[in-house]
Amino acid sequence: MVLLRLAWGGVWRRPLQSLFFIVGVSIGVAMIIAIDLANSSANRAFTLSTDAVVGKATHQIVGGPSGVEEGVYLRIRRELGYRNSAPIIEGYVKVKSLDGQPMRLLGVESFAERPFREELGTAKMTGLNQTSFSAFMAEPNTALIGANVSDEYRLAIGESLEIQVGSYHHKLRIVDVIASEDRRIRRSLKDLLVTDIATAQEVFDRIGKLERIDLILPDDPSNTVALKRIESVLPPGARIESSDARRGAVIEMTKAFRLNLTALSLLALVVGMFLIYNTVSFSVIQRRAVIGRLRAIGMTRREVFAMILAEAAVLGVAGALLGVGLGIVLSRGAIGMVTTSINDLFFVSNVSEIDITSLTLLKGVLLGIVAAAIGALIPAYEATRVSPVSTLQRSAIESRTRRSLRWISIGGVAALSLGASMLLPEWHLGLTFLGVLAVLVGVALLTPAFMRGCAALAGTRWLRRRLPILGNMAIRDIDRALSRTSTAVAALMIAVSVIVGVSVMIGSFRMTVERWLTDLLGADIFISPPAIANSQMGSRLDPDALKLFETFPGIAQVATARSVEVDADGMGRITLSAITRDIAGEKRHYKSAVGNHAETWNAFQAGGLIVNEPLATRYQRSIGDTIILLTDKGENPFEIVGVAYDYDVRPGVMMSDAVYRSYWDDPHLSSAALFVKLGVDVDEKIVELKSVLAGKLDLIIRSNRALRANALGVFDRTFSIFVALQMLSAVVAFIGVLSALMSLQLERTREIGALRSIGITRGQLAKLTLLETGLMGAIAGVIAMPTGLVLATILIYIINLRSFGWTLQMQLQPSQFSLAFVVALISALLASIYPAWRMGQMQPAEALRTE
Amino acid sequence: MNKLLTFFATIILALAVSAHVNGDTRRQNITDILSGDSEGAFARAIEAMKFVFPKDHGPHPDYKIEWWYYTGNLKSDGGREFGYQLTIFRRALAADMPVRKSRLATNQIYMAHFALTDVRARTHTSFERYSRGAGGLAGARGEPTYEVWLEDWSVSQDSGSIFRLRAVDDQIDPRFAIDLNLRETRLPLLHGEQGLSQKGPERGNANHYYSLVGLDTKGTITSGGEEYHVSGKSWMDHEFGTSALSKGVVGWDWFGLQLDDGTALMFGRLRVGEGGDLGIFEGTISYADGRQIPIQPGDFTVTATGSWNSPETGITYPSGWQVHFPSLDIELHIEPLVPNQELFSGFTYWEGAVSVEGKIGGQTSKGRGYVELTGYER
Repeated sequence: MVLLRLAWGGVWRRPLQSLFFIVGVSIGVAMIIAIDLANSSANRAFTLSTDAVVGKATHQIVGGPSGVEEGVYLRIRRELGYRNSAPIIEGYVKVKSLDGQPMRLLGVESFAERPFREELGTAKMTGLNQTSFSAFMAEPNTALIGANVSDEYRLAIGESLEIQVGSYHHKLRIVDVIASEDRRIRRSLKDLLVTDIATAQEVFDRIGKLERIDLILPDDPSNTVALKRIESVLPPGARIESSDARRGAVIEMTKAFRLNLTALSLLALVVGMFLIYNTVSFSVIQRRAVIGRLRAIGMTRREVFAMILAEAAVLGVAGALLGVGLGIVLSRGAIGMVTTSINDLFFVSNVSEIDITSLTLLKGVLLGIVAAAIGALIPAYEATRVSPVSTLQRSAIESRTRRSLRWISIGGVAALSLGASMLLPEWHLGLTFLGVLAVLVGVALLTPAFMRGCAALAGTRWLRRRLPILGNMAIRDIDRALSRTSTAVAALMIAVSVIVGVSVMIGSFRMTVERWLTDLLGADIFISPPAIANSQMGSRLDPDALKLFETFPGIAQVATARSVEVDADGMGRITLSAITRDIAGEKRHYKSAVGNHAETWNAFQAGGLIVNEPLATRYQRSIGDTIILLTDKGENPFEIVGVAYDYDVRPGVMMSDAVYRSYWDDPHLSSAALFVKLGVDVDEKIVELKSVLAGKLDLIIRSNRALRANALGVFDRTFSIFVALQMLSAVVAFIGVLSALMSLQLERTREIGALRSIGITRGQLAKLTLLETGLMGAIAGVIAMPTGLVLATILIYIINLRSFGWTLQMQLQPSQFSLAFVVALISALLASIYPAWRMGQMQPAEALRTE
Repeated sequence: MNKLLTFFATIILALAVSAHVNGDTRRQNITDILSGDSEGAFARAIEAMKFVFPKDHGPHPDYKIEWWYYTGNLKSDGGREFGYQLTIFRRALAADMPVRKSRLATNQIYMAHFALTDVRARTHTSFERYSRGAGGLAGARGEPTYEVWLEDWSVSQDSGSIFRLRAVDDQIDPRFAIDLNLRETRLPLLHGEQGLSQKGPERGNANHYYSLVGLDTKGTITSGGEEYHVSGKSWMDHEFGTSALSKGVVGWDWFGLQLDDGTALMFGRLRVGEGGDLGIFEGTISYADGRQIPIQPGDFTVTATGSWNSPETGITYPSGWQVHFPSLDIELHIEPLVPNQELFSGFTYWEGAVSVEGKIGGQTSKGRGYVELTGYER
């Protein structure tokens, strides 16, 4: 109790530092919680929406890009009498009446639904009367919506929803609403439109096809018999997939992306830990005398230790709790960014709610408290190790720091080599991130030695003579207080190096992508149907539109692409683009290929695949290897003839259009690229095309510039969350430095008194303070530059390659480095303004009296 | 028979409840449901039609409701006795069907019941199914040969006068199945006025209704996992129309009996309130020599001789009857072969195999048949 009171008193005596401590912990915790909440909410949204549509299905029959023939369902029902089967057509549609948000349209056969989506079925049917059901079944363009959606948007039965599927618009009449007592179901209804299977076939223009057939197979040995029976009626292009595999694939797809976010949020905590360490060690150092006296009057080491830790705990808990609140607030922004990125990169999703799980909050709070405890442990240990007498000597700790400098440096080298050894082998991505942390810690531990070295250099007679008196004083001051100055410098250095590393990585990435896009988008005009998200696959270009383009005056050539998802053996679903010609032409750069450009193209035409780099990296495939794809004619091996640079997050392949059509029964096209005739103005052509199509067909017609801008827009959106994290790291670091420098200067009251009394003016004193902090900032900046470079190298060549399989060219811009240096310097100088002002105010006598 | 008319009236609600909630026994008020129907655009049975077979064994989708009702009393080579019921119902949700692109779009829905009574084991096992009447999942046709099916439950005309019936539900319980060949031996029984069977006093409140009786049946029955070679007699009812139950009707009793001397009888009554009778129900008696005589409710009296209380639903049904046709000199005693032959999946009713014995024109006769009882839950 006494200890706690002492600790509490300690907190209140230094309100500003306590505040910094709390802010530092809370920002660290908030970032972790925000990212974790965003990640877990996205995950939960995927799982929930997958659950809602997968229902109790244990397996699914899935087909190629065009789906499964509806006749397969008939055979399963009539020939096999297998009734635990339900046909499904689903897809995302854009609903104008619901603020243009994407809704999942689920086409069901109500009579087959009971074993699968009972809750949804019950909820749906409870209030359904004959007229509604009759309209739902027999009439075209009818749908059911969730009661919560109808309430929110004030949509009554009988009203229509305007939906958009690619280029086409439909009006769905609401024939009834679905209500449910179950919160989970209500939630899944929030982004669901339910239609009859026939209506869904019509809306998606998939007459005669099914998206999949859900199955419930018995969970016993008869399972294999049932599987075999069902497989016996499947056409070559269809296969049975387990629901777990399907659920897993959704989560798996985004795993690397989410892990990268988590790693960044952890980095924030590490920066926060430095801040905590700083704060606690200063509070200990400031109270060395007090601690000495307490020891002298009989307080045991253990009690002192406990007191310091209790103080840290009080502040840690306060910071962590504040961090929880802040984290929840931040998570609203984070979820938006995460969802946007997932929609851009992976698949269409609608994450509308944040799931605040106590586990996430607890994890954040615990991490915050543990970080605070670790940060406090070392100073607490130091404070108790020394004898009561030596705590009263101010120089003791410094001389010890000097003695242990060698060990700290050895520790630094050890951490660096540990980090390097964790980075080099291709282990789990999580370990790779730990390796990055180890490298940062290593550099931080080497910081005191570096500073010592600088001081020693400055201390050489030759230099000393050439430096002004204040400069020499500043250097010696920093050197003398190495235990404190080095932590402040290390914290600032880490923050700045993270800024440098991440911005170099993003800058390099962006430039690489920009160049790649410039080469890739060789055509002049690009045309595609409107998509709900950049990641949406399988949308169709109207065949009439293609005819129009081919005969349009001024158009020299038309290239088309069909973009679909296909099953690849051992890889799950990958993207496939079937192209009529390579719009990049000679400018396509292969990482490796069977021959020169023409030879590769010939091999491609002859049935070879060009795979993207993410695929080649993730699945370790190279030229000459084969990939077995599930075609509509059954499994077929395709040889890899080229590995192309690509910055998609998903593994994908390119195939010649003719080859695709011969293996897949899919007559559709996804997009077209037009080459204009020589001398034709592209922008004018676009205007002409748009005016011809206006009011007839909804198509996105863009120049290659606009398309490139769009792609880069996706890029920038994706990285906005990284930039946000980077900014927050900087804030934490700044606060850390502020708190460290302030403490450092305030502690020197007596020294300042002495200096003032021997004739140093206020101005000189302020100058000294600014000089000292400026020097520290500069040192941090100097160390941060190579460290940031190392970090960027790791991010570019190890993390990105392993996470996504991208080869990026590192692009160094001097501005990034000079900016980092300036940031370090300015934050250090800003931090010294208040102490400098305070010291200037102090009367020498008063300053001396403090002791 | 006016039997499953209400079933079809309630099918929508049954869909609402039973197709989606397993074991929900919520029951609907029949009259409420019927009064809400707007049936203007459906075809109506106003005049007797000339049946042409096998075409008219097939569907008549212009009418709102239609059913094919097969029941039979069979015996194994070892003397084990069985009763079976395979019923397929069609219902049009709306009179008009918009032109749709999807082949799965339809206004026709189908329901089927399959039940098996194993007299020695004293068991009655029943199954229920629904399907849309599109995409080949469920449907019926009359030409070139007759067929009606709901997925793998089917009745198909193999050749000329042979119909094959097959039903089993592999997932729910594969231990019960039928695979039977039914051979036509007699002319169809046309009920009412040349097959126009009045269901109420209103004009057009009638169905087209005929039966095939004396269907010689051979095949296999699987009961409790054991397969039995069986033979016996079956009865087929085919009825379609756009009729509705008259106000006040609470349920009906239907009797279809086949006696060893070749006599077949179909009669019944529509019950109104407590013990009342609507007085409209057009039955038929068919003698071995081919004579067919219509039966009106006033022609006979039915007295229940016992009752049975369902442990499953708590409903008390009559069980055993004494039937007297004074003008035809017929006196019959009917007894269920097994007391519990209640179906309670989507709808709750009693439909079971019965034994019959008594005197027809002074001659002692016995036989088998099926009885259907509805509306006893009140």
